Amino acid sequence: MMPFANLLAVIIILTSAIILLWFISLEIINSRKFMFFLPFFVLSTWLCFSATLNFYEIYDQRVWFVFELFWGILLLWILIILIKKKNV
Amino acid sequence: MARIKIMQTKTIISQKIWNKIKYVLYFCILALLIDSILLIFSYNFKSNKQISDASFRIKEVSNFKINEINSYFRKVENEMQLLSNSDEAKTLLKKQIVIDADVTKFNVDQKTKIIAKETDNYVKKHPNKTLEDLRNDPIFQEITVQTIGLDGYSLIENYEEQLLSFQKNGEFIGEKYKDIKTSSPELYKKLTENINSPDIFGFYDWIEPNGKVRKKYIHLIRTSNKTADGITLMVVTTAYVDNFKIIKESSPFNNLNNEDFNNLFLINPDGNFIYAKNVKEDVGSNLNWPVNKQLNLETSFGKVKKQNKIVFSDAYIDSYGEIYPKFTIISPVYEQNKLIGYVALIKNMNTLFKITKDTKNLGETGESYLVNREQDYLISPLRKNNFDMFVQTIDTENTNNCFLGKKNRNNILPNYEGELTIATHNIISEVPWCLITEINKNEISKISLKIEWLVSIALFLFFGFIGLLATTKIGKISIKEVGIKSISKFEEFFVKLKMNYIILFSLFFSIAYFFLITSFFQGWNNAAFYNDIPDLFTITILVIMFFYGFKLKNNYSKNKITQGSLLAVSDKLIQIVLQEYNYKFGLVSDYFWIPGAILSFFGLLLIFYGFKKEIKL
Repeated sequence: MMPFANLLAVIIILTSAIILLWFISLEIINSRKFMFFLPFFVLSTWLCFSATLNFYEIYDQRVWFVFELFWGILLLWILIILIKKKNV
Repeated sequence: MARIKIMQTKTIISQKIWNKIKYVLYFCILALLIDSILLIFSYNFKSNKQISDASFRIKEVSNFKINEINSYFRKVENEMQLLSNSDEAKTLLKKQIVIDADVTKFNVDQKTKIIAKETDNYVKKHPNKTLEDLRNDPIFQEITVQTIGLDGYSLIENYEEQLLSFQKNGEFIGEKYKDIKTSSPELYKKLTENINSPDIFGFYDWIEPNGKVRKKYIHLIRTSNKTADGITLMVVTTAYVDNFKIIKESSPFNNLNNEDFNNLFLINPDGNFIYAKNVKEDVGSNLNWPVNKQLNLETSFGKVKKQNKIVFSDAYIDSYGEIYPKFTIISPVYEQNKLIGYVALIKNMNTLFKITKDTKNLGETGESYLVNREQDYLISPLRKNNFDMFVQTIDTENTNNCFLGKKNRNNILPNYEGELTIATHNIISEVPWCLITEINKNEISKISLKIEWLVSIALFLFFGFIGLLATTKIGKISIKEVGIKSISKFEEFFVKLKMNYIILFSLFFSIAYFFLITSFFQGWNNAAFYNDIPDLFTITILVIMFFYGFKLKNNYSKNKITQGSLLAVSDKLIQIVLQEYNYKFGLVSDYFWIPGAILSFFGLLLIFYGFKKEIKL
C-alpha cells in the first residue's frame, strides 16, 4: 500500500498541474496567442505526467534526469520569450 | 516642498515594495503552515508511520531486486533453451560413447591426490593414534576407504611391510604384495619395481573371481606423516577402465566463446557424463553411481528426469577449499520428440551477488542477502562480510515465514544477530532461495528524529522571526525604515545590472550552492548527480529570470515574475537538500516534498500571470 504522504504529494502536484493547465488553456483560447503560451502549456502537461509517474514511484534515475532537465529547458524557453519582448 | 515630494515618492515606492514582500510572506506562511500541520499530523502517528514508511521502502527495494534476479534467471533459461536446441548439442549426444583410459587415469589421479592429502592431514592432527587405532576410527575409514567409479575403491597400505591394511569389506586386510603375485603378476611387478617411489601409477589386467580379465588403473601415493607406531601409510586407489565412458570429440562448441559457457556438460539418457567443454573433472563418470549420489548435479539430474523441463539446482560449493558457491541448470534435449540426453551449465553467482550487494536506498545498515531452503545457509555475502557463506545458518522468523510462504505479521523482526530490523522477504520461484532485505530499526528512528529536529528548528526560527516583526515596534521600524530602504537600493542595482553579469552570477550561485549543500552530505564527488544536475540547471534559469524581472518596465509583471521565480527557485533549492539526504540515507518522508511542490505551484502561477501581462503589452 502506498504511504499516505506519497499519495498526498501526488494529489497536490496533480491538482496544481491541472489547475495550471486549465488557466493556461483558457488564456490560449482568449488571447489566441498559442505560440507564446506553448511553453506554459507543455510545462503544465509535463507536470501532470511527472505527478502520475511519481505515483508509480519510478526509481530509474535516468528517467528523472530527462524529466527534471525538461523543466529547465521549458523555463529557458519562457525566459527567451520574455527577453525577446524587450519591455525593459 | 521639494523635500516633501521626495518623501511622498519614497513612501509610495516603499508601499509598493511592502505589498510585494507581503505576497512572498503570505505564500511562505501558507506553505510552512501546511508543512507544520502535516508535521504535527505525522508526529502523532510517528511510531507507526515511520515504520510503515520505511517498511514500504524496504519492500520496494526488495521487489526491485527480486525482479532483477528473476530477469537474470529468465536470461539463463533462454540461454539454456538455445543450447538444448543447438545442432552441436544434438550431434554430440547422438555420437557413440567409448571407454576412455585417459579419463579413468585423470579421475583416479585426482581422487588419489585428495585422499592422500586428507589422510596425511588426519595423521598429522592425531599423532598419538597407532595403525590399529586408525583402523578402528570411523572418520579415518570414511576418508580413506572410498568407492572410485562404479566398482573401484581406495585403501591404505602399510608401506614398511607392504601390507594392504584396509578394504571396505575387509577382504584385503593383512594381504601382502606377494599374495597378488599369481593373481596379477603385472600389478605385482609394478609395485615391487618402484618400491621406493612415493608416487606409483599404471594400468594392469586384473583377473576377476569369475575368470574374466578386466583392465584396471592403480595409483599409489605415500604420505609424509607417520602413525604413532612409526608406520608410513600409502594411499592406494584403483578403478576399472570400463567404468568411464565419454565421446571423443574436439571442442565443437568453440563458437561459444563467452565465458558463461565455460562449464558446459552433456549427459546421455543413461546418466553418463559424456562431455565437458573446458573441465575434465568427473567427466566419464555416471550420475547414477552410488558414489555420485551426494553430488549436486545428481540431485538436479534426478529432478530433470522426472519433470522433463529446465531445472535449476540449489547453490553448492563445488570442491574442497572453495568458498564461492555455484549453481547448475540442466535441460533435456529432444530430437523429434525423443529424449537424446541432457545439457547442463554450471554458473557462478557473481551477477546475483552484484544485485544483492547493491545498497542503494538501504541507508547505512540496510542489506539484502540470499538464504537457501535446505539448511538455511547464507549463500550470498553480507554487507559487512562478517559471516561466511555455507557456514552461517540464518534461522530467523523472517526466513521461516519466507519458506513457509507466509507474510510477516510484524514489520519489525530480529535479524541473524538478534538486532531489531525492519525486514521483508521474497521467494525466488526458480530456486529454493529466499531474498531477505533488512534495515536496522534504530537507523530509521535516528533519521526521522534528525529530520524532525531540523524542521522544528527551522519552523521555530521562521515563526519567531515573523512574530517578532509583526508584534514589536522593532519589527515595524526595521521593515519600514531599514528593510525597505535597503531593498529599494538593491532594486536600483538590479535594474542596472547587465545581462552577462546576471548569467555569470546565476551560474556561480548554483554551482556554489551545489558544493555547499553536498559538503554537508557525501561531498561533491559522491553527490546525487542524476537528480542534482537538472535541478541546478533549472535554478540557474530561475535566478536569471528573477534578476531579469527587475528590469521589466511594467510593475505588475515585474512583481509577479520576481516573486514567482523566487518561489519556484526556493522549491528547487529545498529539493537539492532533500535529494542529497535521500541519496545518503535512502529515507526521506514524502511529507517533506509537499511544501516544495506548493511553493513551486504558486511560483509557476505567478510567473504565468506576469508573463501574460508582458505578452499583452
